[in-house]
Amino acid sequence: MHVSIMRRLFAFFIILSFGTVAATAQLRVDVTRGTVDPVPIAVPEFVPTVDVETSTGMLSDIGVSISQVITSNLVSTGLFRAVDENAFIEKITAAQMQPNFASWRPLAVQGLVTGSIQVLPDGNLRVEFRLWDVVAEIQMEGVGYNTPVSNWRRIAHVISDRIYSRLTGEEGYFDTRIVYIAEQGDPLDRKKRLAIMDQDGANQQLLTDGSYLVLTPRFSPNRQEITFLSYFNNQPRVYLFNIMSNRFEVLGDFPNMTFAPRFSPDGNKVIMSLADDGNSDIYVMDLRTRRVVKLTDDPGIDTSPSYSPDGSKIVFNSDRGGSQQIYVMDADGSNVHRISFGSGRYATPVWSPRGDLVAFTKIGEQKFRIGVMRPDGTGERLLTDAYQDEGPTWSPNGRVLMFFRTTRYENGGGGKPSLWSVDLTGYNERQVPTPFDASDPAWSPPLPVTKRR
Amino acid sequence: MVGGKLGWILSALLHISVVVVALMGLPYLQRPLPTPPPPIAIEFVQISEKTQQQAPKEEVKQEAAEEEPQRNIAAVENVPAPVENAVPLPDKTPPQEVAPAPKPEPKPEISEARALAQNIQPRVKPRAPSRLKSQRIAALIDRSIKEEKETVDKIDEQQEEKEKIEEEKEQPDRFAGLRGKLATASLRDALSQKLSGCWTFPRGAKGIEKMQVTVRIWLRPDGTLSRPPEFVDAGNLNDPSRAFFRVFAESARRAVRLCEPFTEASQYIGAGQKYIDFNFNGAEFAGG
Repeated sequence: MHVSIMRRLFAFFIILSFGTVAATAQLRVDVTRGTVDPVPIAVPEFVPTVDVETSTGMLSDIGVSISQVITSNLVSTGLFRAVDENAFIEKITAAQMQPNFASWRPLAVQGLVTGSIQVLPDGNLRVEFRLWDVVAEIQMEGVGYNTPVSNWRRIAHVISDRIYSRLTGEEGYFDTRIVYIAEQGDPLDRKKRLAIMDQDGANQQLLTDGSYLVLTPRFSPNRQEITFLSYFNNQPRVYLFNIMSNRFEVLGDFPNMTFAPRFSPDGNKVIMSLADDGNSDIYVMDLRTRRVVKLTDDPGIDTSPSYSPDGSKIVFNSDRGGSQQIYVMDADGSNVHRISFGSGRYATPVWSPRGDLVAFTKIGEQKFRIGVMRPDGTGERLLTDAYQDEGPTWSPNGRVLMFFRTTRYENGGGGKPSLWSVDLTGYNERQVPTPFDASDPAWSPPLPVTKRR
Repeated sequence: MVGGKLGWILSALLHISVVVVALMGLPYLQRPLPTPPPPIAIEFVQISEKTQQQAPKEEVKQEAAEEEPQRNIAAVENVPAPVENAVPLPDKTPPQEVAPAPKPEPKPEISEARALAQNIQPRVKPRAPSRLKSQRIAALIDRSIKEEKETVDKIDEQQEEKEKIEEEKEQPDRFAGLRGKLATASLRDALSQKLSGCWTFPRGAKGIEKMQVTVRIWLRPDGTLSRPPEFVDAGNLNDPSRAFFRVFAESARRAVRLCEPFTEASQYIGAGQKYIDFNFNGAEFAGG
């Protein structure tokens, strides 16, 4: 009898527990954390269908170089990690067939890039590549390009962009160039020349001969055109320079100007800071009509304006509140409000091409540091922490910042500036190699690609 | 006799519940006490020496302020005591002795049970076919009766529990679902933990803090994927304006495949559930 009661009681508990089992829904697991380790990728050499001698060397050598450039580009982002080619199990051939995924998975490869190259009857180079998701075992991308053989390096950049874009969701920035000021000579008699290079430091070129001072180059957001400031008869003069055609054009003489103008997002206007009777204000100039309109009228010093990517707002620097801070206003000069409220001073605000952040140089704690904040002033983060980092410029996709870093004079660095880049999350700080000291970088928009198949 | 025993059981349950309420309730009632002390100032003593009559009163008040709340509670508890004979016993004992003891005990029990329940999973399955053999049905029934007795004892004696679970491992028992339920919470944690190790996502993408995607996987009993994972309500991934989201979703799908096989979920799958939903949330990757 006693046992039967206990059994009933027990049965009751069992039913109760089964009831709760039945009441629970489908198992749903929330995953809110992950790793930010670089994604492992493999880029085996691009294979020639037929190995021939070309004007720039053996085709197979070009294939090796292309894969090296792509690998180096992707690794430089800090988002990807290249798997050592000595570990490769499968040898990729020029035949158009799916790779054997099973031989790549043991290497922990997630993205595999295979490619083939051939010389077309007209003498041009045809480069084809495919991007494979090794884990899902599918092709993610496959594109072919025709180009003169000498252009192989650009093609490698274009392919890198394509892969980057497919793997990260945002536009690539490898097929771009950097304009900067190359500095040489004694600190008191510095020779400053305008220089240009590919974003990875290749193809260095000097654009001016150094006989006159060149300052603050700025890129047009949609044309291969830069403005820079120079001095003519000791008067600041602003030049327009077209990189594709190598043509200079004088935009005008602007007395009391200290920075070159910045372009508007449509490239049709430039915005600048001019001093009138010792008081700097923001002005905008229409490049077609050359008409100048004054936007701010404040006794404070208003400088370094920069447009938002939609052209509706302008971020600038002002000391109207007592110290140098960042302000935002509408494109017509109305609705001015301050966005920076941290300790220290803020200089050279630049609106991200992506629109979600404003980069700046923060001056404080005896340092110049690069930081970003949202356009409403929230989410301020410092990305670098060196002695003197300044002059941020955004990559065209708004993902990476380039700036110049000056070493401390007494530490043996000699106060020499050099170019550095940093990811907007603050990771992956890298020096950009330049043959001379370098300052004032400006990042170009993507170069035009005329033929895409 | 039966009625008498039932009464005993009910009264025992009642008493136990009263004791439990007292044990669990009293420490909480005492908690607010520690705060009052700060205002005590030694200087008051000096002042009291100058004006003899007022000073001692103030000291007494402050000391009383510390002790009073304890007395109040004790008084409240003492009031019901004279009414019944049975009740006062627990009231006198609990506040000092038992407060620390009851809490730590139940936790290890549960975690041990869960851990053991997880361990059982793989061994349950191979036994399943043997249950269907007609020759052993009688033996199984016998076992199930024994097992019930044992589990009844389990409520009373905690130490024997481990041994019984070991015995139960050998059987395709009806409590698998129950233990699976107990293990579900830890299974969810375990899977979440496991996936976070497989999920790699390029950080800093625009709008990542608001992205989330659900990947559904179907499992075989051995924990491998029985068919390719699918997105749930993910919309059109080829929409050019959702390039970031496509990359996000694909990274989630890769994570699920990289984490294969899901052996820890085999018992869950064995319990009749066909699939698991993983909800990936990108807030963590907002940068900074």
